[in-house]
Amino acid sequence: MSLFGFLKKKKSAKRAKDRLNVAIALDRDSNVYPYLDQMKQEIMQIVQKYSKIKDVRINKEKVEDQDILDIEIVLEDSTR
Amino acid sequence: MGIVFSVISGKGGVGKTTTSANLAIGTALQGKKTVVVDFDIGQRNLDMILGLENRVVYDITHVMEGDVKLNQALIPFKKSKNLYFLAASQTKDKSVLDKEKVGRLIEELKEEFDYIFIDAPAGIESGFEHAVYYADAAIVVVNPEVSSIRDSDRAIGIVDAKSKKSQEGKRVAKYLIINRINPELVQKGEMLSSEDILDILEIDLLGKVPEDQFIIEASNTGHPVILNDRSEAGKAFERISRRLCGEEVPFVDVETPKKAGLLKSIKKMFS
Repeated sequence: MSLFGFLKKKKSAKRAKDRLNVAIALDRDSNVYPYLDQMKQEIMQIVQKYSKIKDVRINKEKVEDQDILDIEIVLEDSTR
Repeated sequence: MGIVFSVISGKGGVGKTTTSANLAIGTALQGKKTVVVDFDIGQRNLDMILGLENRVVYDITHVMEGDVKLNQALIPFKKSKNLYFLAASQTKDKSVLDKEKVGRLIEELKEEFDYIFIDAPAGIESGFEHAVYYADAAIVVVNPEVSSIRDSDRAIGIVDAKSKKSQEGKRVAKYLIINRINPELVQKGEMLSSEDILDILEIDLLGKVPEDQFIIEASNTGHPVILNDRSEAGKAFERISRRLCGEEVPFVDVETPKKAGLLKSIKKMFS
């Protein structure tokens, strides 16, 4: 126990832990679906068999502990 | 049928190869027929740590390419008749690895050995995936330091996503080894404690290894610390090896400095 410890700023190990908790939470969040790019490619290939498409957009969402992948298929404008 | 342990880390230089070497020797001394495989293609190192660098004639690539039989490439470790070593290729690059060929090699090793330790390359590129694909368990080596811990979490994520067992819906066991603990710094609050690290990574603890001057001596001489009775790190690796062999070994506190002298205690009061 250090007598004059209270004079010092927050210990660095505590800061390391706080910073790691945030960084790792973000890392894990962005790596939840490592297969996303490949899946997007495959979805495009399948839909293209039937219709002309502009884009496939995949959004990750979390609604009350339920993970949701929102897949939006944007078709080419067919009125032209 | 043998068990495959992949020894992994996020970043390099945390003591992965040292850990692989010592645990392989430790489990062999416990009576398990053990093989340790250097999977760091292009960066052969385990041979030096084991003191076997002059014995390497054939390596893992020769075996996978079918140039030689497995037995011709396995190098016996003098200090334990139960331990064999398979070297990484130094001349080829990681692209020689191929899932089927690796799979055949691992199958063959599983038939001959109880424990197979794979010293994986650092990082998370293709060589890493091959080294963890057939793992039954991953042994994650970290240092109590932010970049090592963060990178290891990503490596664990890859094991969960890419290993064969995970893809079959089974669980790959993951165990943590915290290496290079400096007890003085932990006591001062200037180094993450093992408790903090376990909190952050949320995996099971396999062992804690203190920083130890004998590690350098061991790599200088090619005589791993587990064979050195005076080494605290060596004792820690021995305890871990016993745990891997199913023995219940209590965790020793390596985070409290060994008896501080009077002068040190006084100094500490004013620090």
